[in-house]
Amino acid sequence: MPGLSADAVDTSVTQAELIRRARAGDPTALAALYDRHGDALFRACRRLTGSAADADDLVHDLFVGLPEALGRYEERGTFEAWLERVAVRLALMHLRSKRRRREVPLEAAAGTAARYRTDERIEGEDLDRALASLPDPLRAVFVLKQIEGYSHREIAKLLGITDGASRVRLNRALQALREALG
Amino acid sequence: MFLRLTHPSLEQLSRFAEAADDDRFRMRLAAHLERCQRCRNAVAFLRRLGGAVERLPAGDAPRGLRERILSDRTAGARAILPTADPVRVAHRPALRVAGVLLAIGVGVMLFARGPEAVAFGASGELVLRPAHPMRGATISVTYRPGGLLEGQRPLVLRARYRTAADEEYNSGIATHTVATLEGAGRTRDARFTLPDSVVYAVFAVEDTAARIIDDNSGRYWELLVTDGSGKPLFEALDQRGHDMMGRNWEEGFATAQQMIRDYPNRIEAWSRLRAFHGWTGTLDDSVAAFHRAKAREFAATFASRADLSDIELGYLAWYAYTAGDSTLAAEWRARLMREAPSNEFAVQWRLVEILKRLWSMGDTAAALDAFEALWPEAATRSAQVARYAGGIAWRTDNPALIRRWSERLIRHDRDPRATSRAVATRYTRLPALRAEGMTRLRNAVAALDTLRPEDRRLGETVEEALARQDAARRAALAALGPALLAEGRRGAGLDTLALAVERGWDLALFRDVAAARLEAEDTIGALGMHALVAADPRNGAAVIDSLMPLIRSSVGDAWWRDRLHQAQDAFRARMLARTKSRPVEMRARVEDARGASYELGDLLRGRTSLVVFWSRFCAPAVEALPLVDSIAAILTERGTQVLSIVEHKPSADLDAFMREQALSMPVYHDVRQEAGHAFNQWGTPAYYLVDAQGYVRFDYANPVDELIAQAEALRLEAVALGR
Repeated sequence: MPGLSADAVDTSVTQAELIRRARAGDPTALAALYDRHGDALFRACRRLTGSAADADDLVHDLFVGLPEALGRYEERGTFEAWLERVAVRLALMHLRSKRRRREVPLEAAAGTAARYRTDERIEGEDLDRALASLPDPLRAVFVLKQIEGYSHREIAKLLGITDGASRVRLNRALQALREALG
Repeated sequence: MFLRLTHPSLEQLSRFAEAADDDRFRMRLAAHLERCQRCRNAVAFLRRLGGAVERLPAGDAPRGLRERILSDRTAGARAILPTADPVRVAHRPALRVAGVLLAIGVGVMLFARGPEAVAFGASGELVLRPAHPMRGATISVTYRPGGLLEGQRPLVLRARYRTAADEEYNSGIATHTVATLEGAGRTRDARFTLPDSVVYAVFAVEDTAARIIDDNSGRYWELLVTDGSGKPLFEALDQRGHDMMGRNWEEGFATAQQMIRDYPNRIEAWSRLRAFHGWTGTLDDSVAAFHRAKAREFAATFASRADLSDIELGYLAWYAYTAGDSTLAAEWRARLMREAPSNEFAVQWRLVEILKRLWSMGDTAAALDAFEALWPEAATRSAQVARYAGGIAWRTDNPALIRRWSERLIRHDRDPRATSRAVATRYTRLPALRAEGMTRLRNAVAALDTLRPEDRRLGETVEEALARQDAARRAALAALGPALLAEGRRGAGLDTLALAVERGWDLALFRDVAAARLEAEDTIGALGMHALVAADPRNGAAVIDSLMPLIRSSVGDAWWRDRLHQAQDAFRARMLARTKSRPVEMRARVEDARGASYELGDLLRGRTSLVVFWSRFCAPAVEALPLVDSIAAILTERGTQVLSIVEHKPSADLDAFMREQALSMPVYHDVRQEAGHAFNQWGTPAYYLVDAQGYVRFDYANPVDELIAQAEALRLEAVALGR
């Protein structure tokens, strides 16, 4: 693909300039924005959906659609925050639109209830699996609040629920994680 | 705030652990913690959880994703992104659940409501007697045509029959020609006998050429088999719910409520209701708590029964799980696994256990052995088991294993012919199975040359069915072509690819064939495909810009301009080939927010239009609004007008909602329900592309990417016709 090698990306270019160029359809600018933000967005999508495959599709669609979407970026707040919110909305839409069958989620690790332990360290991989096993609505609130740092008010707006519902879901998520991890 | 006698929630303790609250709250909590070991343990857990969050695996984006994004973008792929927050769905007051019983009462009302005879109705009236038949009953039919089928003789009655064993959604459910409706006067009559196995049926009426169909505004006409007293069988209600999946979520919800009313002791009914609460956006905290309490109530009853069936056991474990009571779910799931390991929910959980062991141990062979051991008990979960096992088998590259699980999937999946084609396509990518895949694809292409009556869906015209079948045929050819090229048969491969793209409009197919042609060193053929891609209005100038070096070095500007011009003509012709053409009654009236009345003709005549039906109370419709508004902005810019129609009267609440969302498309109010009937609309959301003469040419249940291209094709048609 001519002109798109990573070596050609100039890391000294400001983000504002990259946004301007990406908005105009410049593929090298889009590549540079991916290099700056792609991994973080992938991690957020993966934690929200519980699936690396889904996160791959979502990040793909996000950057494929980004140049046109930048026409609606009004430069209020940071670009990172705006971009992450778009990714979060995409992930939440994906969770809502999954075809409903009476199936346990593939990554469900609703395993045996653990005795409550007070002293053992929880490994990151264990938490990762336990998160994947949570029902979508609970996982979404936990990830947005405890990992991505959104407030309950912001979460409520993203999910279309009340602040109170966000708190209740977080509580249930914490209970479920405690059952799984002790 | 919390009482001295109760414990703070984990969420409150979490705020304490993070030092995230004011001093007074922290002091009260600290005082409680001094006295309470239980909560101290909880805080210790939350602090360990916080540490684990810091150690979550980094999980960077996979290799190759960047290149795929850039490559697809250059090839013209686009996506519309949600740049605005979704809106909260308002709940109809009658459905807000202060108690589920209230909703059940309302559910009966919804369920009983039928279509009203209104002016401008294109649909006729179909009467089925007896209206509440028993199994195997003989049914008399009387049909009075409306505008759609007036003057047509004879007419055909077709049905979709459902047995107690049929699944959710309607793909793969066969349709049947039931009777010929004949008569010299205003009505047409017939008789037929319901098969004994049928518990639920929906009907539509059509002309003998299957070009005009009366589907009762999308509702169809229906029969539920009863117990003789007029009460629908549980299985009939269950199948109605399955039939409504993807058709009308409110009716599905109403059916679930009816199941509760008529069969309050059937746990399957409560499990279904819980699912619909989730799908319709009505699962607030009080409803969730209600379901948890109901699950515990069933558990207490079931615990004392010696005659518990496997089905009840499975459903209780599942209901407890979906209700969110993890302790109860674990208890009943353990009992399910001990006492009924072949129950469908048990099989599903056993499948998950196999996958968990695979993820932790990485032993593919052991996983496949476990699936083989599970297979004899898979029963209703056979397709699910075969799909997952097949996915693992593909990783082994072992043709025998791949073939075994693929054949099982084909046998048990709901649409065996489509699954067989998908399997055959995958076979062509593995050298050891390529020949077999090619044979299957050739057979599939031949089979798709003929439209079998049972494959034409209820409500689908012959043209629509042929178009759908042709799309499947083209996809099979597009898979066969590269397989022939891989075998070294260049001429046959390129000819097959040419057949794959000679009709229809499928951007992904054009790109795939362009890549295959380029790989086969057929640069001119590849550029011909790229011209089609470039002609699609969804693609920007970047598509052409990226091709210019290749164009100039191989064919020259003049050739490209000529090809692009042909491709633009082809775009319009192919996009509009085989579309429906259903007239809209232009005298139907709607009102704007000020109460001014408009006929649809005033709004639609002379312009290509997208008409969007939505409802403030419909979760899927409301969630789609930001995306639809983005599409509307694109269409308006290109000359297609977009307007939306809601069922509600103007109100301060709706005004506030519209202002908050800053929707750009105008909203009209269907206060007399004339517009809904004029469009044959049932349920929301619903989207209609209307040409400048007032005919619906495309309709959708979801806003699809092709909508933009189809609108552009209609606009170009109007320009060409001088309108």
